[in-house]
Amino acid sequence: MASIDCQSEISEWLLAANSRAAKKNNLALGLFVSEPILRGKMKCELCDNKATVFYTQAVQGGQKKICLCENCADTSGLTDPGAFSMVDILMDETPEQAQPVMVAEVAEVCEHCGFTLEDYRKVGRLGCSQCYMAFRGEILPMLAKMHHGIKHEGKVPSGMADSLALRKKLAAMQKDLKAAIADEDFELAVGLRDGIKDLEAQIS
Amino acid sequence: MRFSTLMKHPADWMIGKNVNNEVVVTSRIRLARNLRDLSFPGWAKKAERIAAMEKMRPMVESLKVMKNGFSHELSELEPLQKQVLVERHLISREQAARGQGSAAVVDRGQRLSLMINEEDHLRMQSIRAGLRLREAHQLLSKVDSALEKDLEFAYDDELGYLTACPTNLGTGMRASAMLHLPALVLTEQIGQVLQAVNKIGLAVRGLFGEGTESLGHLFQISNQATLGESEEVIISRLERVIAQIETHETNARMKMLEDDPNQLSDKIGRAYGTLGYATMFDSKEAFSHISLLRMGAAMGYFPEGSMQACDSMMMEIQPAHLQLHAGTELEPEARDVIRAEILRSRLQTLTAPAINIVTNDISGDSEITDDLNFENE
Repeated sequence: MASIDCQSEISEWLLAANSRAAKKNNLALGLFVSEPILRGKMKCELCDNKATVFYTQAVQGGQKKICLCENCADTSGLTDPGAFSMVDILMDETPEQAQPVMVAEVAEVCEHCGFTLEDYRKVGRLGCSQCYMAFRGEILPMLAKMHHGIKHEGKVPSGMADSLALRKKLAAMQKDLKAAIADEDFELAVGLRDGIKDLEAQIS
Repeated sequence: MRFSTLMKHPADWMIGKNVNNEVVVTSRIRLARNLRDLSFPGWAKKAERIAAMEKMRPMVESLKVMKNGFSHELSELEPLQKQVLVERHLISREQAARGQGSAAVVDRGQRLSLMINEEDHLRMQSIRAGLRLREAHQLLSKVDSALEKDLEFAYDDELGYLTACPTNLGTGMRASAMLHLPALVLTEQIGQVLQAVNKIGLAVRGLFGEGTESLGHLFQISNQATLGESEEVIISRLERVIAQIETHETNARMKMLEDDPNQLSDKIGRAYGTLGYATMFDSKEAFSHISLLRMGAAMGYFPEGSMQACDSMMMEIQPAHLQLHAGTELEPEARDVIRAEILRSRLQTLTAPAINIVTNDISGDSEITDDLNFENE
């Protein structure tokens, strides 16, 4: 996959497909959605068609970009807000192999409990568990200094463990789907797609 | 269980029966948990805090291990009673400062204590005598899993258990051990050891945790990072480091005995004499003398059971325990007198140290060690 220097963020076409809810979902997954700028001369990273979908993902130490044609964006699940994790898989296979990290905009106040970013900066503590979403961008960079990493290892609440297992299964199925599409085994792909939809419904 | 009952019975870990706790006095594990979406105690309004407590407390009390346990809201306890709980390591100093909407639930054996609405909604702790972090963790993890069935804890795939302070994220686990290191202090090796401990990312603290000074050559060593490593990895590393420090301390004791047995006997003898006859003691001085007796007991200078006697003395002479014993609140100076009184009476029941003065006529270390009662080691 060629690394293409692409500064645009996302096509108008994708933005239009995104509802407000999907946008929120993007943020949670660490994807930036900003002003659409359509670029004309790019080639799709999966085939040689003209790239019309430009995606940028925040990664440690910078951004990672992917340019796709409408067709490939469609089959990779980019246009389906429920299947954004597919993008993660695609991103992971780009040469840099960078791990996507959660980078969200830092809110001024936690809408859930009313605790402010200012409060956090003053006392170093948070107001509620939701504050971690609101102020994530502020908190994450500091964690590496105080801990042995920024990804939790160890005990998982039992209820969560189930959903974690489901999510792992989902990721595996999404990989299979991609392979099936590459092999042009559309029968298998359709089956997998339906299975993925069911799993996603179960998880949410 | 009433407060007076709790007071009458020493905690299981304070007795340290059938456990090697000469150097590693106690092992402790603490887990921090929070209820999802509710404001953390420090930010919650009083009504919210009380509501959260009322949700958690019945579940904590109904745990099997808490049968016939001690459960009180902090507002129901006198300041002195709270301080006693702190001195017994059953609640934190932070928790003692709280009132309505915060509670402490302690099991009958005082091995397990759960603080409701401390800095986090739940702070659960388990203490064991000796180096037994794993056992302590197993017990606590079971309690955690039992509570999790009814309480939805704040958890994030990436950040693990969410806590009021980001320093506790991830496992929410602080594992620590209380080490008695008099020989490393006396031989001036302690600085090096503690520096090394700091370097590998572990924290060293005094008797009562953060910001407290070391009394009686007691040091608390704990993990600093809670995110990015599993409980197992954290405990394993801590165990390895603690075992190494334990070996260093034991070696330092042996070396003192080999190099200058008279000086060692002199230190222990003086500590015994001072504790037995002085009439005023502040905590710091008393602790340093008891510490030497404790080391002496571990090295066979005193009959079996003397080390446990030293541990009880350390507990009894702390300010709140002492005032509760006296039945009244006392100014520091009056406390110093009572403290010496308690110690004098305790020393009456402690046999004088078995000291053999080594003169130049006697050559070789083997004979000296023969004179000392090593069976207790």
